[in-house]
Amino acid sequence: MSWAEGQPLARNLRCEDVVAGYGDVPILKGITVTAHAGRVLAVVGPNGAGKSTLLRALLGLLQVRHGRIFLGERDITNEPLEELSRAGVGYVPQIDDVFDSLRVSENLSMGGFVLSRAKQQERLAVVLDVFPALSKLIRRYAGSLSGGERKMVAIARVLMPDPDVLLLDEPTAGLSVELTQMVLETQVRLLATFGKAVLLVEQKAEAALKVADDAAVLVDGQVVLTGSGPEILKNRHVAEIFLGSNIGMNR
Amino acid sequence: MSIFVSAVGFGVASGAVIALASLGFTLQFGLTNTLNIAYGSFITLAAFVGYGFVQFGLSPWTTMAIVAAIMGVLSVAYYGGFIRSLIRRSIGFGPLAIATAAALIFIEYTIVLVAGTTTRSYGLTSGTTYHLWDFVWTSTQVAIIVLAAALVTMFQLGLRTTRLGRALRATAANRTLARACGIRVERVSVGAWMISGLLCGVAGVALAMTTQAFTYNLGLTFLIVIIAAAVVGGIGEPLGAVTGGLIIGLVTQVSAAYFNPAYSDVAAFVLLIAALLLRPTGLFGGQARRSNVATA
Amino acid sequence: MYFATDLLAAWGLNLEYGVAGVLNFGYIACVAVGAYAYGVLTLPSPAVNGNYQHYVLGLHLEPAAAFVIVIVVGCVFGGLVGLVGRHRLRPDYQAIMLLVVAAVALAVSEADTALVNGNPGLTLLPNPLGTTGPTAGNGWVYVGILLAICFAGYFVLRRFSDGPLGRSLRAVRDDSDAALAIGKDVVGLRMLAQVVGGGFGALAGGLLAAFIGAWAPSAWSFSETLSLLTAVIVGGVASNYGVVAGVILVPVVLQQLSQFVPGLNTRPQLAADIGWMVTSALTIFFIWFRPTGIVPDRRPRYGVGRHRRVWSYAPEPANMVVDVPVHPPVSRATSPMNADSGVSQASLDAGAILTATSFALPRRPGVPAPTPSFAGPLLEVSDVVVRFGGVRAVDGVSLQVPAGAVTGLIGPNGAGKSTLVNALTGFLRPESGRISFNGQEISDQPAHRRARAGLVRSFQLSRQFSRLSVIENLLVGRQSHPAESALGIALGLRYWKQAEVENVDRAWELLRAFDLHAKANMTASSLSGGERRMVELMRALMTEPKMLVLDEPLAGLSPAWARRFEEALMQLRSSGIGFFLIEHELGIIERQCQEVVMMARGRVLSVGTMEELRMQPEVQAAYVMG
Repeated sequence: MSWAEGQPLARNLRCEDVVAGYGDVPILKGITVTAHAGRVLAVVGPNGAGKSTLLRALLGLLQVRHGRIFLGERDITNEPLEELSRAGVGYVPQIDDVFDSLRVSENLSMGGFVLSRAKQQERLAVVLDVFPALSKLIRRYAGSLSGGERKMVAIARVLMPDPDVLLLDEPTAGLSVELTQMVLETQVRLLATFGKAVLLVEQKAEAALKVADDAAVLVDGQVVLTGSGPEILKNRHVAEIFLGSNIGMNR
Repeated sequence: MSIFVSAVGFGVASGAVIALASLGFTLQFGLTNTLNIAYGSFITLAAFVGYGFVQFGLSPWTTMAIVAAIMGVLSVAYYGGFIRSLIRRSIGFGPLAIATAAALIFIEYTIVLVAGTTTRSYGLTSGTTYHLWDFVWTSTQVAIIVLAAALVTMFQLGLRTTRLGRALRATAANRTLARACGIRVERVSVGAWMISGLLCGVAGVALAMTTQAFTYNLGLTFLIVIIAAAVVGGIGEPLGAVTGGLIIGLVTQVSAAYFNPAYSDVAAFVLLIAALLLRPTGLFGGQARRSNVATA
Repeated sequence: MYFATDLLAAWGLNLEYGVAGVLNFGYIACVAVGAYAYGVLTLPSPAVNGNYQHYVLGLHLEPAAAFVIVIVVGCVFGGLVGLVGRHRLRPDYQAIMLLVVAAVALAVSEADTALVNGNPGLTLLPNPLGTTGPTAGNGWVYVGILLAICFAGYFVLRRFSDGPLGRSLRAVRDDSDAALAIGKDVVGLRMLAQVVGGGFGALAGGLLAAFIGAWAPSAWSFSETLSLLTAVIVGGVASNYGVVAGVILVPVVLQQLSQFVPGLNTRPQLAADIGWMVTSALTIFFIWFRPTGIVPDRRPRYGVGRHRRVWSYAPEPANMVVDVPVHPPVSRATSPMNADSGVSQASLDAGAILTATSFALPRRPGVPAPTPSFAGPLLEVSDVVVRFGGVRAVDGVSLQVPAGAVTGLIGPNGAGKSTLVNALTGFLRPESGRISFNGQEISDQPAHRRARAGLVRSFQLSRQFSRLSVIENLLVGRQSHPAESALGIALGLRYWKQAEVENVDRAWELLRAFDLHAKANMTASSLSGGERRMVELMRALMTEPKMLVLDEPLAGLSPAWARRFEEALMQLRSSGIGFFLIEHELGIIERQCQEVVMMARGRVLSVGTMEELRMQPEVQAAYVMG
């Protein structure tokens, strides 16, 4: 992609020993992970491991009690979501990931809200270049799109301001097996090739690990395994973690 | 037939005022999810502040501009200093609604303290009468209809073209996603209350110009009329508020022409009750029924 | 005089808003209905006065008889207004609705001159003491009578606002969904509060009109409702004594007495106007700084002080254990899982907080343990479909849950587990399908009926009645308490005391068994997350359920609390209750469940033991690896 060439590599997102939770119980018990520029970091783990909690903490939606979060050299711990967005953190929620009541074109321009008008036009051209299929949908209301189209709009929207870091919350939730593969292997991979640091939170561990450069397995609010995606995929323990009780497996 | 036509003419004129007021109300409700009962007394307050300027000798149109500006500032102060603090205390819906009702009484009696309980009137001459098609309108009514149409058009254009307008739409559509787009939703809420105050100022003075007389306590009745318009059109929907305003204006005036004029407000109230019971989402959709899904 | 009538009205409003949580902005209409009713019932036919004023009826009744009818009319009016609650509108829409109903009533009374003489209102109303209008001579007598009525009214009011019925009303106020889940008829209870509140309001209106001898639309503007609301908020929300203080301060001092403060020559009403400003400012002040009011609603304390005598409290837990028939857990000797659960049970027992000897599910004497009255599975679901918009969140689910065992329900996020729970327990209406419980079809029953039939649920985020004490949170779980029946209201304490004593005893036993008895009298909102979860479980047990549907009970619990919860579950397994356990923490499923249902994409994918499920490739594909 021409527009990515010659650009300085985007910044990393670093999480250092993050502790956060609801009420008096910490859900995250000291998480340290780094999403590197140009790489996909998959955060996987069984239900209730704290994946969404980690995202909420990263996004300033949940108070971080201990530990720090850095975007490049900048400390962004507990900054509100709108300021994070302006600092270069893009976020695609799991549900409600587009403005249903707005057209696709408006969704994109909302994504580029902080940009000047000229810059917005420029970025719009780039994004439509990346996702040519969007041109056909541009007048449609986002609420009327199919699951795959919807996710494409959401990802295109988050690309508008050209963020350094992308946080994707289960982008394949509710999608069919084929679409899951398509979204992860084309759209999510694509983001990394543009030099973005991608933090992918996924329930569908196997599919996510296949496309991940780096991966962290979360269990009970802690990182129990790190490594490259394929490496973790081969690790025998991962199956155990997902298949439930260790008692059953250790026999 | 002519009764009907003239009632429709009056209905459009009063509908224009209701539409402006209702637009302001629906903005507050849509963006900050607040049932602001004091909105009715803000309308009254605008009429009375306008009365002061008219007495001072200003033309009603200059007055309207000044009052709109004053009400814009007051509305922002009311939101920033009062409503927002209460929302942050998460005191729940009931106490918040009661607090705004108390604010309504407080404003009404502030008006009484300054201007007394006597019925006031701007004492404007009704001006030239225009015959457009079969409609008969006074020049004031025509001017207000034109003004309302212009303001609604400006508002709609502004929603699409200006930064604040786009931020308003995004925030109303999906607050978290708007924040993820870098939109500072707290400032947008302040902006919404400012616009709401401006509209309220214009509507208050326009109401005083078109009705013969007004008193300190017209707020609550007019509030229900406004809510009726907003709910019939679909609460939180700008275009719905305008459409609802016109519908309510027409229904009240036509029913007043054919039945007892004293029942004109009752027609609006009944319409509101029917709308709440039969189609609480309004003409333009939205969520009205209590969500009953017990879990996240 | 005004004190007495305002007090009656404010008590009525307090029952509606403070106790039952119905924000009735149109309450003053009840007062007006009472006043007009008194007028048209006692006035002679309009023709007698030469059609000096127009009104309907004109029955020329005796005032005493008229007051009886006034109260009935008020109750009926309150109930009719309460019908709004059946629509389950959003609370803000409901508040608007009640406001509009009053506005319509006011507008009609102003506009319709034939009904109650329109804007000028009714005058020359007969004085109940025989003379026309207030006179110095019988004024004090009248005040005396009014105070006596208030005194009597208090004892009527208490039947509703205090005791187990008041507790249930407060539960509805604090969390209507949680109240539904333990079998409270939320709509009915709210309507009851509005019926009684309407009666009090109408009585107040009738007495006021009788004293003044006149009533007109100007007497019941919206600000009068606010004045009464202020009395409630300033005095003490839900506190009958507080309302007395609030009424003295707000309507009496600020509104009535301020009228006698001499104003300026040009402004005779100055003090009264300022009185209104102070009233509204006070409302805001109290909402902001002291939402409980001057005299907060004091919840009864159990086991200490006065209540120690009234409600029995046995300090020796050993004496409290009531023998329950123990069904041994279904033996699965052939399953390899048995060994596992043996291991885990031992490890759990090592850290046990509940000791097996002290723990047994307390029951009311004479009430047998729940045994299914028919042979089939306790809960049977066939082909249930729930649709949200175009998405079939639950897509034709059929399953069976037996009594006396723990059945698991697992599946990835978005599989439709919580939606299914909502459909089973009546919190969502399925599009199609049949649900039968204990041999009876319950598909069309509302949530509270299902809970009364014994199908009780918990919530993912534990819910509690935050302004009630911990033990009250348990006590409220008692199903069909005699104090909530018509007889209970009529006969009072002596009718239901025995039931309540047993209820309190059971609550203490549970609290002791769960080791939370030290916190019994603390407000529920002060508990930690784990304690809340336990309170929710105990409350569900207080309903004596046949089946408990636990929706992710371990969500958000610390490991220590999760272990405590599992121990409790293990102990309860033998009580005969059927458990349907929805969890994503598979450890507990593995250890506790004989049978596990696996859902994905709105469908049941497989049923079997956890061990069996784990071996199935399609389960692995859907659940484990996505």
